[in-house]
Amino acid sequence: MPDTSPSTMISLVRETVLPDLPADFGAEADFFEAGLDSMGVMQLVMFLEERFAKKVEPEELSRANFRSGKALATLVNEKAA
Amino acid sequence: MNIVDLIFQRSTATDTAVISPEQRLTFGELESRMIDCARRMGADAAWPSKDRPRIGLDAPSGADYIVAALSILRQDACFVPIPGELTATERAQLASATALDAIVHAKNAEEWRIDPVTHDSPPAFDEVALTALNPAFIRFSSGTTGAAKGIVISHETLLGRITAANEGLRIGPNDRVLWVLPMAHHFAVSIVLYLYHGATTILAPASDPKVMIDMMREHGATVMYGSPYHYTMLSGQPEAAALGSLRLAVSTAFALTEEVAALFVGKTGLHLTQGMGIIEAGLPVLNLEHAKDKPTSIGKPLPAFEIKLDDGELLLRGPGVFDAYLTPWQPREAVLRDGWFATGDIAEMDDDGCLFLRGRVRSVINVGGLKCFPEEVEAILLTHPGVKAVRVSARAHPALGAMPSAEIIPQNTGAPPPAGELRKLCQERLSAYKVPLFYTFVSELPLTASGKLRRH
Repeated sequence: MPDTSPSTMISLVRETVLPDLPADFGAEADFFEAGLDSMGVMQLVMFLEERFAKKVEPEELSRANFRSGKALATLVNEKAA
Repeated sequence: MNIVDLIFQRSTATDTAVISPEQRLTFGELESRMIDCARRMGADAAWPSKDRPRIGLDAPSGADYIVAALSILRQDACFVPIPGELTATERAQLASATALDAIVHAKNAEEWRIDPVTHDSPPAFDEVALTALNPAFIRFSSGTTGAAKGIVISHETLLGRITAANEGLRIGPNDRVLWVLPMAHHFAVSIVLYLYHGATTILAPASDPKVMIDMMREHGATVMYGSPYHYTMLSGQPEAAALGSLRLAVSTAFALTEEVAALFVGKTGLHLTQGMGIIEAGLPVLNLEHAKDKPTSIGKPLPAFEIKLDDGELLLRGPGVFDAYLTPWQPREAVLRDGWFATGDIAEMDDDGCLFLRGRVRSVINVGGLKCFPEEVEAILLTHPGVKAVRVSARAHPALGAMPSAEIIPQNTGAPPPAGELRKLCQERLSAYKVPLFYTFVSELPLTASGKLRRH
C-alpha cells in the first residue's frame, strides 16, 4: 500500500508542479494560493493516476479536491478504499 | 486603422462588455478605463518615445488584463503578451527575440510599472518592414532555434480573422461568452472577437468548475470556449445539466476524444463543437454541422476558407493569415506555398468533407494547447552528466491531451540519475508545461534508418 499521507502529497506536488513550495507548507495550506493553475492540476491528475494506478473521475476534478495536501490525501485514500 | 477604435465605435456604451468574479464593466466603462490607463502609460517617463514601440505585457488573466492590453494597442504600440508560466530564461529569450522596447508589469489597470528594455544588438528582424505592417501584436513561442517564431498580426489581419471566424461562431450583442482559458495565449483573437461583435465576456476561474457553472447561470452564458479538460471537469459537477442551455460549446486547445464528447453530452444534452484554432490563421475550421454524429472531427472550413490536403498535410487559404514571422524575418508571402498556409497538421477528410486531425508533420507535442518541442527539452536533459541519450515524446490521456514524457539512456546503467534531479533541471530552464512528467530509463532508443531518433 503506497504512502498517501498529506505530507507525501505535498512532496509529490512540490516534485511535479510547484517546486518552490516552502519546506513547512502545511497539510491544509492552499496550493492554488501557492500558484497551482489549471495546467498544474492537469499534470497532477495524470501523475497521480499513474502513481496510484487509479483514474481520477470527472466529478473529482473540483477545486476542493486539489486545494491542499490533506484534500489530495483524502481523494487518493478514498480511491484506494 | 486601429482595431480598438473600431471596437468602441461599434459598441453600445451601456451594454456589458466584461464580467469577472470581481467586477462588471460596460463598454462605456471599459473604454473610459482604457483611455485613462492609456493616457497614464503614455505619460509615464519609461514609455518609449519611438513610433510603434513593442510593449510586453506581464499581467494576470482578468478584466484588468483586457484594460491594459487595449491601452497598449490603442497607443499604436505592438502588443506582446508575456505568458505567466515563462521562466526567467524564456522571458529573456522573448524580450530579446521580439526586441521589446519596454515591459508593462501590471497587477491591475491602476497598479503597474513600465520597465524599459535595452538590447546589446539591433533587432534580428527588419524593423522598418515590421512597422509598415501596422502590427497589432506578436505572439512568441519559445523553443529551439528554428522552432521559436514570433508571429506578427496586424490590425487589418486581426479584423480579417475575427470577421471570418464569426461567420461560424455568429457571436453578437446578445451573446455572453464563458471564458476559462489563459489570456496571454488567447486575448488577441478570442477576446477581441467578442468585444468587436458586442458580446459580453464572462471571465471564470479556470480551476473551479462550480464557480464556472454558477457564473454561467447567473449571467446567462450562451457560448462557452474551453478545452476537453474543462468540459470533463464540468461534466463531473452535480449541476452539469445547466450547461445544456448554452447555444454553442466550442472545444479547442487539444483533441476532443469520443470519451469526453460522450461524457459531456450525457450530462448536458449538448454536443461539443470542436474547432481548430491556430495562431497563424485564427479559427479556419469548425465542426458546426456534425458535432452530434462526428464529435471528434474538427469539421469543415468556414465559408471564407479553402482547404486542401498535400501529402496528408492540411493546407489552408483565406483571410486573417498572419503577416510575418519575426525571427527569422519572413513576410507572409515568403512563408505561404503558392498562397497556401501549411498548418503542419496531418489530416484526413471523410466523404462528408469533415476533417479529422491525425498528428503533426513535425515532432511538436500539444500540451493543453501549448506547443512543446521535444528537441528543446531533450537539449536541456542532455546537459545532465548522467544522461547519455534521451527521447521526449507525448504521453496521451483521454481527457487531458498529452504531457511530455522522457525516455533516458543513462551514462551508467547501474546508477541512473535520480528522476527528481532531471525534473529540477528542466524546471529551472523550461516553462512548467514543457517539463516531462514521467522519466523512464531504457537501454536503447528507436532510431530511423539515417540514425536519427524515431518520433511517433
